[in-house]
Amino acid sequence: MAKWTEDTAAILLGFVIIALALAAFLVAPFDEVNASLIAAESRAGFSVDAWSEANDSGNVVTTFLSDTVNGARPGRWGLNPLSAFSIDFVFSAIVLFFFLAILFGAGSLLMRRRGDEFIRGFVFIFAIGILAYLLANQLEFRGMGLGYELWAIVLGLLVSNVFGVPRFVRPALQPELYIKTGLVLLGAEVLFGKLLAIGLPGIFVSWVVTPVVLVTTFWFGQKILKISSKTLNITISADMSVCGVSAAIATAAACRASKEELTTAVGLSMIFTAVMMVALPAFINAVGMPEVLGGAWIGGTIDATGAVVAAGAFLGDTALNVAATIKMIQNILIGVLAFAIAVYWTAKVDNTQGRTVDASEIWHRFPKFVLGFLGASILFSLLIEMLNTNTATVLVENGALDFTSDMRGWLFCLAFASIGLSANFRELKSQFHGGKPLILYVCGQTLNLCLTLFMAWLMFYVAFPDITARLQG
Amino acid sequence: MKVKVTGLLLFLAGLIVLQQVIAFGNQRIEVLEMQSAVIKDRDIDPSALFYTESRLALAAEKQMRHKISAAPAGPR
Repeated sequence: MAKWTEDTAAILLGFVIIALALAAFLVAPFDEVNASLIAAESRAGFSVDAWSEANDSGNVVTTFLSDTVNGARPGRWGLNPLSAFSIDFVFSAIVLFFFLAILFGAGSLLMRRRGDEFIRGFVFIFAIGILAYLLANQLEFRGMGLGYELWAIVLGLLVSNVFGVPRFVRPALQPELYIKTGLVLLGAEVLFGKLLAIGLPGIFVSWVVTPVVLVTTFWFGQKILKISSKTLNITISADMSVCGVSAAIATAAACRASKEELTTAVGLSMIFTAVMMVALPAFINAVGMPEVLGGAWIGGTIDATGAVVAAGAFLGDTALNVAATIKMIQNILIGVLAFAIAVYWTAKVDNTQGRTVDASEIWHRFPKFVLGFLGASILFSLLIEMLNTNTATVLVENGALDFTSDMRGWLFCLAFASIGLSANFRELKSQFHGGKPLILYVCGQTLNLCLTLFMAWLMFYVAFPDITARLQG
Repeated sequence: MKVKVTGLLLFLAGLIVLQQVIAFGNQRIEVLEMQSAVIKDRDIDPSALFYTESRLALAAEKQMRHKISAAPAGPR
């Protein structure tokens, strides 16, 4: 019998969660919701989002699943962290803990590791995950975009470098398994039908500029800065040019970057995102740039979706909508990016110079979780296309994907906690030798800002002014 | 033991200082004040990683599609 690896186990665990989501959120309530929606669609002033909010489009099971995954995160708080906790939180956290412990305990068994030892250590990692969400929900930290991924790494580093990691925790330190399972779930959110949301201008700003910036930045890092680690170089380049932390995670997993390299890329992205979220809209406002152009510029350059929405909202509704849509189209690029980097790394970079490798060796080295990621993406893209638009919005976007994205958030949180627990300050410090990662990020982002602004102007004001007129209308 | 306690206290002190610095900036620096007001009013989570985590991002796409397909083009 073939041995289960982290990649194959991640695909299995990811699809178990996806199957649960599809069964509970799509199959079970389908007939009832579809009939209600068809009846409601003919009424004047129908809005699918308003309908979705007003009608409990799920059932007891979906409500329980959604409430549990959402409720296991502490609430928002200002000065008193205890106010973030409630009885509901305790119940939800216990249920979610057992679900994840059993699921990943089974994954450990498949990989011939001790399931009982895993569960004991998992208690500790899950507790760090809750603390990370607690800090992320502090009002000032939340407002600056300091999310759970940052706090999970910081708390993990604090424990590993100040207190030392208890021995019983080690069997549960499986960052790659959590990340790869999370990436399979992320695949479900990569919907190719979203690509044409605003037609060609969106594709040119997101899918032409971004790869150019990515490749140029990688080349700059190798040839000019002479960064010794190609994996660090590509992780930072992808993180800066595509969409921040999620791109960094996908790239790092596809090229097998080290946990310190991923941490470096994530740290850089979060700092620059916080700065750009405030500085870029302020600059756009100061120079009187039109909302469509400003929105496209923001969407193409600021890393994280949440920060893009915040920066766009600062300028106005049109800018917000354009910025968020451009960023969404860029998000979809992650699917192609992960696949392309996995293939390139397997066939070229990891290959000994001058040696030809046959297809079986490439297949052997290929990170298989990428197939799960693409499979989930294709499955959900087809599903959305097959369903009526409103039914897809209610049952898939607001239902199944809402659940899988919350689960994916938890898995990334556990992954970053594990990374922090197994990294140390000295190794991290060595990543910044000569300040090259910082220089790479700044130079790449400067190119990104220039090219995106030029392409946005060219597309929205020269090539397709009619689309711009409609967006402004 | 002393190192562990000192490390923990320094971490907690760092958190409090960071929170106070951001709160001070939000009250005293105009651009930060405006940005934090927008985030609060529209209930935006700036740390959302992907479009599926933001209701506003999901709604934005629908509004864009609607505007492009429904409204007549303006004068060139």
